[in-house]
Amino acid sequence: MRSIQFIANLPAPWRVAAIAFAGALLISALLLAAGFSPLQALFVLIEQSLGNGNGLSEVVVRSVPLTLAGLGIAVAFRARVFNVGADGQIIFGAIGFVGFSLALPGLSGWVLLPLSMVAAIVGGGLWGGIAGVLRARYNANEIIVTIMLTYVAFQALGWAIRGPLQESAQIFPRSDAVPDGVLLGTMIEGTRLHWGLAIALLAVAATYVALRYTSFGFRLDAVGENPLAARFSGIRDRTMIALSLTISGGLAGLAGAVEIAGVHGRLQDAFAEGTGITAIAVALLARLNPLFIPLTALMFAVLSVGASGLQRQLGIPFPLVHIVEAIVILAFVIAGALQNADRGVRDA
Amino acid sequence: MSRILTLATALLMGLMLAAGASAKTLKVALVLPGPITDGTFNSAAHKGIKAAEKKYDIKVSIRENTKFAEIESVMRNYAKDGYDVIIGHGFQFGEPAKKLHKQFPKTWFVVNTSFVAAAPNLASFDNRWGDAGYVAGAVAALVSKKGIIGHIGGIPVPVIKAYNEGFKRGAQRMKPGIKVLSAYVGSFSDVAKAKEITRSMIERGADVVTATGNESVLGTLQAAKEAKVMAIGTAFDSAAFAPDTIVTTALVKMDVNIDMAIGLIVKGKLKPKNYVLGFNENGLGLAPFRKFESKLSAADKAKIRQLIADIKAGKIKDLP
Repeated sequence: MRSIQFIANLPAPWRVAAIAFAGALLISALLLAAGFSPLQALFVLIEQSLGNGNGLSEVVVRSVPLTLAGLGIAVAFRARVFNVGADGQIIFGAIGFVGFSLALPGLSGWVLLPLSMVAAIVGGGLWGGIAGVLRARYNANEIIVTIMLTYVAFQALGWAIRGPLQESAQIFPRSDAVPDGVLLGTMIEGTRLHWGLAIALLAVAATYVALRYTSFGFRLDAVGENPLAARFSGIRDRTMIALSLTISGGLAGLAGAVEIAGVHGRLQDAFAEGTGITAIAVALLARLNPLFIPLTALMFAVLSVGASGLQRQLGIPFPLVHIVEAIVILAFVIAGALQNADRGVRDA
Repeated sequence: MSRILTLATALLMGLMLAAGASAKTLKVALVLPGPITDGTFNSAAHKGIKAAEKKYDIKVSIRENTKFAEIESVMRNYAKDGYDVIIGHGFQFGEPAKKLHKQFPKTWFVVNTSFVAAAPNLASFDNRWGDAGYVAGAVAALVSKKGIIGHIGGIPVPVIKAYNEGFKRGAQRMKPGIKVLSAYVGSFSDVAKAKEITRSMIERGADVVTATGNESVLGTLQAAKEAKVMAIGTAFDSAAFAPDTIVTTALVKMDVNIDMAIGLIVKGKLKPKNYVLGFNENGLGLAPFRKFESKLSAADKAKIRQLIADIKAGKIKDLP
């Protein structure tokens, strides 16, 4: 405990360096203990993600859902509402997208794609909205509610792909392929880079404008800074809190839809595993600024793509790869949280 | 001793370097749906790749626990990394391989337990799982005392369905009227659920159980071990896991498939077609009875031997 206090009392740049150093030390020790060279691992991690065209395109592909979910988390965090359940909202977005597009396969893609995207936003928004209403109306702790709702969502996905949405062949736990019309085509032939990137960038611009230049953004910040003061100045703080989680969920839902339409083409287990949790680190590290979110999303995408290369190239077993990834994310979250603590974010 | 080993290794590496100039080391990726320790499907593949590694000049990368959602990106990454052979171990790898193989004409794609071969560079290997089930069913019927036996499948993919059907028919052949239960877990990896289903089958009176899948098979073997009920393993000989309850294993020698695929590629003779391996091609087998050797009567053992001989000779007409 004392050492944490010590780190927290350091000046900001030193603090980040200390955390990074501790993280690096821990990872190196783990890799050495398992008989791998940390330097070689670092080299492979960078080479696999940034060293070739395929790695780069995979990095961008991975950054798309991270950006969208990260934007959602930032919106809620601006109102000091902690959405840690983006994974559940991603799932309900994907279920909405796939369910809707499979129900109306006759429509042309130009109509069906936008409608299905809206279905995804509604799906994710509803899932976030439940937590929002519970927080606003009954003051239920949104951290606990969103975590719990994520477990419900995992089970709902498992049921959907083994029940109502299971493929017609009835073999695998997955849905039928969505109609070709709703697939987001690839931007560069031979890669998996898809037009979801454009959607993500549009969402970045829209969120930035909404937060920076509209009264909505102002009210959100006001509620976040001081809900009571906001209420006395005529802002309906509870509505804003419920709304922030709904929008947050809607953006996560969009992330789910883009992941299905751009990468998987159908609903299946673990289609966006861990995206919602990583997106928290993405949003915190970007200091909740929408314009920085794509950049921090790229950073974490590099980590994720590079880490899977560790397994392929060096044979480092997956549990260890996941631990390494987790240590890095944790280090960033701590750094991000301490940064935000400086700005007076309330204790979670 | 170790110094001699080091010296020998160094010499060997020197030789390999010298040889490397002429023959190119083949880069082989084995993409598995589960862990190499599942005691069945993935263990069998692992055994095969290890054998091939000793035999041929290859460099192997193994990817375990590949989820459905990851298959395409994993295979694509290996292809982009310049791997010469990518082996997808399981039916679910067929579709992504079909999607990818034309984009990477220099790579051989090999898919096990499926029928997806396509020119110019996609070959598939299948074993006659139905025959394996048939023999397992026959053995189960002969050792069962209560006349109730059961199969717990992972996900009803074609090979598992074939095994299920063969298990029923083989049992009926040995003991007409025997009760054969069957159920699917809905997952290859859910050990707990497989265990629960097996337990409920045992409660319904089954005294011999068998299972197909990945780790899910461990659930069945565990439940049988705990309830002291006989079990028949599949694919990979895992008798050591529960020597007192595992009667034998219906071997599905995917190690032979893998060895064969790599061997053919090394010789430049692999064709983009569906290879099917049965007892005659050494693609199937029956593990030794070990502790159960004395518990089976000589007549029963003779029946099983005869059955396998008949299958080889094509005399059994109701194989699935």
